[in-house]
Amino acid sequence: MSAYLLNLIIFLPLAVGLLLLALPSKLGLHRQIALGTAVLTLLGSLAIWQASNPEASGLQLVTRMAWIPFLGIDYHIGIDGISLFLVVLTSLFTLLAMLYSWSLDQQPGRFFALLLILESGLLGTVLAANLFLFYVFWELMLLPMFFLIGIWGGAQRIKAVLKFVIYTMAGSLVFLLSILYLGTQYQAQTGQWSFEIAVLTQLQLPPTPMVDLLFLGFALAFLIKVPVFPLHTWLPDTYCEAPPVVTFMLSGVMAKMGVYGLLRITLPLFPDSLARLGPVLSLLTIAGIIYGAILALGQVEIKRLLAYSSISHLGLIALGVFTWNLSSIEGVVYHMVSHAVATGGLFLMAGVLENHYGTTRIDQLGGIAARAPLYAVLFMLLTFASIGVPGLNGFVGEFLILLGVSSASAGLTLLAALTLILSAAYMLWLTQRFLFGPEAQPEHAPLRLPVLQLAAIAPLCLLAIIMGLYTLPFTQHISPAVQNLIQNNQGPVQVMLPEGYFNPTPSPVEKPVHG
Amino acid sequence: MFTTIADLHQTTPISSQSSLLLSLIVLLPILGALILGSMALWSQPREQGLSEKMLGALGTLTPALSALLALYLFAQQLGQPGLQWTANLGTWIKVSLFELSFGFMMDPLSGLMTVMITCIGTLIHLFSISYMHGDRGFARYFACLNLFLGAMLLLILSDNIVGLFVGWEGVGVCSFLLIGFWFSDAQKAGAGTKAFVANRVGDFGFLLGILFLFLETSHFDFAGLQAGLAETPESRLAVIAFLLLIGALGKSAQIPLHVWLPDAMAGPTPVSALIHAATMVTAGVYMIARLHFIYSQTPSISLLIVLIGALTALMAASIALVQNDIKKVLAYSTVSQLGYMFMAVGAGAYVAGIFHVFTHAFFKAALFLGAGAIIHALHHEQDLMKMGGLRKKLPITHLSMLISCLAIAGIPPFAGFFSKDEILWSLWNEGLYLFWGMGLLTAGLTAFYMFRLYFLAFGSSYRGQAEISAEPLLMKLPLLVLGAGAVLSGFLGLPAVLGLPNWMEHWLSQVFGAHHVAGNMGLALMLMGVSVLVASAGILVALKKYARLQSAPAAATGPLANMLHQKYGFDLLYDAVLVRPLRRMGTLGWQIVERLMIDGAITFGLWAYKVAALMLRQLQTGSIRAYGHYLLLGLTALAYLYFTLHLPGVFRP
Repeated sequence: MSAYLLNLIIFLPLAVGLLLLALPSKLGLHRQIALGTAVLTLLGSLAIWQASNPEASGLQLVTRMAWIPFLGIDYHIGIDGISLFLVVLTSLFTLLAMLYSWSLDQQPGRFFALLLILESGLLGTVLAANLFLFYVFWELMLLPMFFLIGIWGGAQRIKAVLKFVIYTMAGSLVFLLSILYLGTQYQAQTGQWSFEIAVLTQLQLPPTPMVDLLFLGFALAFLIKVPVFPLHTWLPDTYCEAPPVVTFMLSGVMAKMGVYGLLRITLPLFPDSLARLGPVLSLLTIAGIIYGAILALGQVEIKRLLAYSSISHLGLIALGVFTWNLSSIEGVVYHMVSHAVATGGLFLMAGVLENHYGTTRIDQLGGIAARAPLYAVLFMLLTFASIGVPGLNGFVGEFLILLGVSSASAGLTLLAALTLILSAAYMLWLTQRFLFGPEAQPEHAPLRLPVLQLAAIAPLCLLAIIMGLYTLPFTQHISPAVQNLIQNNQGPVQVMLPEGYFNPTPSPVEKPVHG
Repeated sequence: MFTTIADLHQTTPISSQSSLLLSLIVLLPILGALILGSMALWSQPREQGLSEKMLGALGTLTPALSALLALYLFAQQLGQPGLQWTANLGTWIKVSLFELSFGFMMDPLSGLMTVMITCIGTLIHLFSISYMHGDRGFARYFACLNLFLGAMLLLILSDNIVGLFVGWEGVGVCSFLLIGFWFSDAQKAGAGTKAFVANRVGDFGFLLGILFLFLETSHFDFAGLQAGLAETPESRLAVIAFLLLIGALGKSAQIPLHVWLPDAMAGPTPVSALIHAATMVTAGVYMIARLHFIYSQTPSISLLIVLIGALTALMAASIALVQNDIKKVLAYSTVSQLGYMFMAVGAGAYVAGIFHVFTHAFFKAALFLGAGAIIHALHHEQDLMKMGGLRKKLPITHLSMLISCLAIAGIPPFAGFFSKDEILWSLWNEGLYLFWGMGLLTAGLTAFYMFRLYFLAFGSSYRGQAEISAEPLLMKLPLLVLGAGAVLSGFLGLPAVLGLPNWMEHWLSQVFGAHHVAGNMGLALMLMGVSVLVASAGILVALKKYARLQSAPAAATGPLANMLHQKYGFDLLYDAVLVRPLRRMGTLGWQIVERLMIDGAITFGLWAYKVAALMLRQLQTGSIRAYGHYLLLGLTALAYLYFTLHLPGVFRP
């Protein structure tokens, strides 16, 4: 029974979304139906969480059917501890996005329908176990995003969405070519066609420059989506021009798809290329961490500041991915969810501000805490979560990633840990300027959080606390899956710079040390 | 100069005993914070809710309960040497490489600190009820203060270094919230940010230290760390010790990270007493003492600690000479006293360091609360030049502050004398004569500026305009208790070299190992005499200069005074070298790199595309004759290509 759950949560939103697009908007029940679907999907995801066995290795709840048999393309989906939380995250975020935008003025029915289609694309991407299927869903999630930004975005939305689409399509195109090339290589070696990820990882490729090129081809789409410096320039414009709730989905869920692709596909396929290119990529992520943080310091607009902070945080996540050891990957999986909660929440808070004051420019705001204490408390909570104060969720992932990185290279750890200082500087300086100080608009009505928007933000705040203190329900699924991933794809544990300060750690899979 | 592993060997057998009460000590204030915090959120927009009395009582209740529990557990420890309380609240992080839990441990060191923190914390909560009377954020204040206490106790009682770090950052957050408590004032909000960011610089080092400790030992708990580091070579230990030290420098406001503490005086005065004098800022000293097994193995880093401590002590004391804000004087005095504590732990005299943390907590809390009482009585006047003659009007405050001034100046038999002399004696004993001299000089300066403060506030006659209101009972009580502590706490550590019983030494030897006190009794007496003389000289100079003052004296001028007024230029330097360049880089990076280079490249690409289109458009004129020419041109080219490729030699002459 539960095997069908995965299919259900992928296709139910898609079907309902398409139906809603077809239904005439006069009917007027669009939002309610969409919300009901999102609730069902979330319940389905929670049921999957309940049903999945943390001890099992490999994919669970698998459905596999032949799709295009003569090319070895199967409809093959399954879930493990790594994808599990992205599934829950996606369905939760879709629901929260709907709550937040419940009172949208402009064509709410279509907006909600597109959100549902987006959800399908995201869930399918996470659950696909076949490269071709993955690609189909990967493209599916781009489509609704194009309209969501292009129709409901801000004044500069067309320019922003073009930039977004050109970047993404460039990556996708290279990705598709790389998939096909890899498929032909497999066919040439074995005489059969297959696009199964698990099968392709077993393929032995000759160590030629072509392999590294192929690796980059597989990485480009993901590196753009994450984004890794210097491929990030689509992000600030897109995040600022998209409606807040779409930015919430972009930063919370969509960016994680890039990380997930690297984790699931690119690195397992090309462990040797990672060994060769890992140092360069790691340095790029470090550059992103610092560059994003410094640019965040220079921003005069809250959404743009959050966009650059997102680049900085995702740099750390990407660094964890390229470090490729137990601790760092566990941290990456945890931090993907943590970062989504904190940054997503902050983008929604910025949206509330924009609704109320009509601007998110810092110099036009000030002293909001005096008359909107609840807003200030929630904003501070998410701020502290985002800068990694222990006891809140951001710390756990950051700590694990840095622990993993530190066993590979002390130098990189030192640079990456600068985020501790810089993130505190730009975030607290931000709150100092717009939450505190004398009131900038005393004649304006005090900021009130509308009930439904509060209902969208409060669960995130709660999650930020719970995931900071009670990590067991998450890590008990993540740890075995990551162990499995690392063992099956024994990439180089030590990439990195010439001489680490310390000799690395106890070898990856040891019995847990209590302490 | 430094003790060896053999000295550290525990003499008393340790018996661990689990008790839920221990976790309650930490949880109670946090619970209080949650309740008060929700009340604050609920009531603030409505301008109603529970009365101040109820809120104040509720706010004081949880610290008081924690204090009772702490006293109870500590009393058990006293009766049964070697007893160590433990508690475990369950798993926090469990991943492939390690499992971390919320574990607590109360050994003689953390027991002493817990008792001190909870008791002083309770008194300061009590004091705050009067001090914060009528403030709009009354409930919020007590929520933050309770939360602070919870985080501080977590820091002290945690049995692993990550838990300590949780408390460490937690107190940083509470400190941020309380420094910027009156956040509508942009400057005060800015002081909070400054404090947090400066502390984050320290935490950056601290976190790296923790990571590298784990790489060395695969442990986070203190017992495992101690065992795991036995084989580690000194060079690696030194790197770890240095990184951890950065954390301590941030939290305990030592050079070069001291700049935040004077600004932190923006918070309400009881906050300064609790967080920025008695408890949080001593966390760095506690951390070094807790990790004594690392620092006793790294003489180079320990010497660095002594050096930083001595420089900080002297620098802060000299700045305090010219401050006119009563809280600023006390703030620099705190920085200076923390320097003493660093000198002590750097010299391997962990007991002396913790002893000074202990006595300092009493007299500095009394001084700050006294300052708070004065500020309260004078309706938020903090300028010493507008005080004077307060002795008659505020008798209890006067008494408590006089005792505390004598204590901090190092006059026997007040508490500061014993702890400060223990530190100076340790420095002398280790052969660190230069640093002993710096400590002695600082002692003289301390005596002078503290009695400058005393005479300016209490001596002569009143110079201000504001009406003086009386001191309420809730202020008198904590002042009296802390004043008593400023007298009595010193007797816990009478100098052993004179053959007197030193309870502190005895008690903490369970943690730090027996410290063999060698030395000449006569020499010790002579050094004591010297330091008392220096302190008395400082007091006498202050008496002569300020006791009979009728009008406010002109501010000192000259290059030295200017330098002191500029606080040696640290703030200016950081602003010019770090803060402003970083912000400018942010703006420029955005404008130049993102806007000009990347967006510019794209714009250029679009432009080039348009230009090319424009040029190509010229080809499509619509004139048949032109098309005919193109056709002819193309055919010729094709023919040429064909013949060159397939019939080579046709065009060759």
